Amino acid sequence: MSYEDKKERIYKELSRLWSMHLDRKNFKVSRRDLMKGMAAMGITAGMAKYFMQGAPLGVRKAWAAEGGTPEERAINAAKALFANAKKKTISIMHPSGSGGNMTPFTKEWKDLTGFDVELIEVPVTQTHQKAMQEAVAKTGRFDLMIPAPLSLPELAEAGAALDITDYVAKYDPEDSHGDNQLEFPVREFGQKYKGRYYGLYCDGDVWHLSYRIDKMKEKGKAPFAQGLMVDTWDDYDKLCGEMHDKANNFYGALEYRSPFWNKFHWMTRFQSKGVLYFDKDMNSMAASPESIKTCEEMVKLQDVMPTEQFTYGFTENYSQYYAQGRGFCEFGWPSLWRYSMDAKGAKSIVAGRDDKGFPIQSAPSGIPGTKNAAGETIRAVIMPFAWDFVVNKHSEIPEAAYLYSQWLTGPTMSMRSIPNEGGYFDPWRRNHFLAPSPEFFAGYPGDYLKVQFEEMTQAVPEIIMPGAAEYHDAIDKNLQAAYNKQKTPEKAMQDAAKEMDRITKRRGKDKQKESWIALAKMYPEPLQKAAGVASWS
Amino acid sequence: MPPKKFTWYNGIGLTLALIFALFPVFWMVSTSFKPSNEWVKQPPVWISGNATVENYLTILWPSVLLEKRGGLTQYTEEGEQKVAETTGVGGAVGDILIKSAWQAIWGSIIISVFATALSIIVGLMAALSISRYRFGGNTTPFFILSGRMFPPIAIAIPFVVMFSDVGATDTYWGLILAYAAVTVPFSTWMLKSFIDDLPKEIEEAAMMDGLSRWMAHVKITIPLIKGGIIATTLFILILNWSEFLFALILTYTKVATIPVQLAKYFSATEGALYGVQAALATVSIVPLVIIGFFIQKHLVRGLTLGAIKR
Repeated sequence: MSYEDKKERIYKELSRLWSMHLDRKNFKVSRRDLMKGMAAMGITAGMAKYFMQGAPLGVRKAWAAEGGTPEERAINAAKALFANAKKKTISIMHPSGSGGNMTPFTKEWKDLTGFDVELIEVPVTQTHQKAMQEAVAKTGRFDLMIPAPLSLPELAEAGAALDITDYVAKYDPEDSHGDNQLEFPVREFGQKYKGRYYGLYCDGDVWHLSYRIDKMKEKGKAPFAQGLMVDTWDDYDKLCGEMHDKANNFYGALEYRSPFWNKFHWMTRFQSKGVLYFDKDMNSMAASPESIKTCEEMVKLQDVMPTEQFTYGFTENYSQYYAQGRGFCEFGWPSLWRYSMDAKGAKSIVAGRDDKGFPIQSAPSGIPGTKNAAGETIRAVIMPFAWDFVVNKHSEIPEAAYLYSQWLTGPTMSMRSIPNEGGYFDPWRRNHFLAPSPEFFAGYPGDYLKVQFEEMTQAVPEIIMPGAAEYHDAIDKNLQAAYNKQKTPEKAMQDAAKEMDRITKRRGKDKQKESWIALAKMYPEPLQKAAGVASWS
Repeated sequence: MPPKKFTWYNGIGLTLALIFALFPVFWMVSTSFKPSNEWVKQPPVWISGNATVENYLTILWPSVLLEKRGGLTQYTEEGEQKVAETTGVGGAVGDILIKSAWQAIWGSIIISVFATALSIIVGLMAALSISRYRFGGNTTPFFILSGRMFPPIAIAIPFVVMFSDVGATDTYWGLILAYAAVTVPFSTWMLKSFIDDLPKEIEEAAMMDGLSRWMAHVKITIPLIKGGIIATTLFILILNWSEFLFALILTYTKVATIPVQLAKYFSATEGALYGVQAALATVSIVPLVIIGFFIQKHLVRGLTLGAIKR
């Protein structure tokens, strides 16, 4: 049969079938007709299914973008995905202690979308290793993980983290626009690596300073401004010295000088001098005059710190000193303020409030800065840790997993999730700071949210790039040597710089430089300007 | 030879050795009873004047602490809820503290006991075949031992891949197999040394009296090295009981062990919960101490077996 014959026969058959519909009187369906009709329907349905990515009659695409909020869009899209999902449970690997931010909402998510949620708790110190294990093992045992932003570069490079840029564009978590956005620069270095999204931010771990305003008043002193204990680091050193009263077991400063914790102080104080971790050619700046001066200042400050400074970290300083009324000020994460205000649970004796519930013993403050040549104060507020929802690249249900993270980190859901006890996510969206719910405000009373909102806009990252842990360790152990007087600040910082440069060389300078410049472009504008980042390439 | 006199300097030496050996245990038990503000106090608190059982309640019966605290505030779709578990340790209320450690305690017991039994059975068979029949030639013992010649982390990821493929992750049997595989070289070598020291003429005599090879081992060899088997069993049990790496990488939610649970008592905001960790560590040594107490007679015999050369 020729091609033309075949074509004519098909036309005839189609017109006969069509005429059957038009002329109901002659409607007779033979078994052959029935088979043909069924086959045609099957083929049509199959093609529709193929082109519409598996959704029933192609409605999925329409649903996916529907919804006025990130939460609604996530729910609608997840609901549509559920029927054909290979897995009906979203498994989340999370660091120990953070489950309380998720468990109360598991049932709600299931009711809304059909997807169940399984929480896999791992020791907080092992989250990075367990995530990296997945890069090699590719088990897909968990769909989401919650590592720190510091882990993003290595998870991305190793192929463990999924690039979620397309999902972000498709479902819009409203992280970068509108009244509920996450502020620049945290939304950049807290979620992206080399300009691509690898995580959705869920924990605003930017530092602040809690201090004893009542003690200042007792000495006839006043804070520099509302929400700012002092303006500069010089003022801070001076004030801590003045408030120090060792005879009465009251210490002027509660910084961290123990291994692992101590580098965070150096990172924030050093970079406020307008110099970043590396220069444009990826040479370490740890041996720069600014870095050495920072180290010297920090060694000097130890005179007004407790003797346990070499072993105490955040919790110990807080529970032994600040909350016990034995220290003037402490740097820390938002939970520092939350615990300070908790007389019952955290047994804080500095949680005093007035009749209106306003704190009168403790006050929150922004981190001090350094004045530049033009007389402007540059601040570099460190963001150590924080957490991100990261989609496992080997998950069977990456889209559903992403949608869960968008739902829980949405403006409304995060407002409900953060105040929960039993977790440790802290405020990060604009609405958390500017329009908190009553229960949210109860956890972070006083001026804290206003102060922290300012801090978010001046945040600087840790060394969020491949080799982060090694760079951190090089700085950490050499600072430790300086604090213990085993090395002079100059020698310690020179050694740190040498080690950092060695790490860079071993990992490949060009590759590291590319990551570094991408990170440097995510710094707050005053710091980029001070370091001349605009001309880096 | 008359027994040596116990001199005063022997006494001092032994006392110092005893203090050295027992100090970590004392510190652990002491910390387990300290309230949170004494965990890392300077100068150290040797024995707390404000001793508390809160650390033990946190790991064993956290719900008791709930009533004391008045609940844990959580905001669900129904509004503010008080959840029926929490803790009072240091004011910290991380969710790790609202779950007891019973799952980990039972997990450790089940996995360690079965993995030890498996390791000893396989090790004993291997030791007999090597010692008595030179099975596989002279190099076989070294091949077996080579499994312990590289760091466990080197085989950790292949284990995850293989175990995932056969569905053995997050299962008791999976971890039992992994532990047995890792400890079999030890059990084989230790038991081989005990069998080597037993004259094979005794077994031959038994066979001449009518026992089969197999029954000669069952009725003669094994009873004669009983002390060695018990010493080896305890050693393998301790190894399995304290194993961390494989338990961490091969488990998710259904299976837990004490070492992994200990590591969980450290969170981003609460820091290391030394008192809670000390309480769990104290609880975890109890079974081993009890077992050690009951088998001490065999243990001494086992550890000295072969000490006198034929």
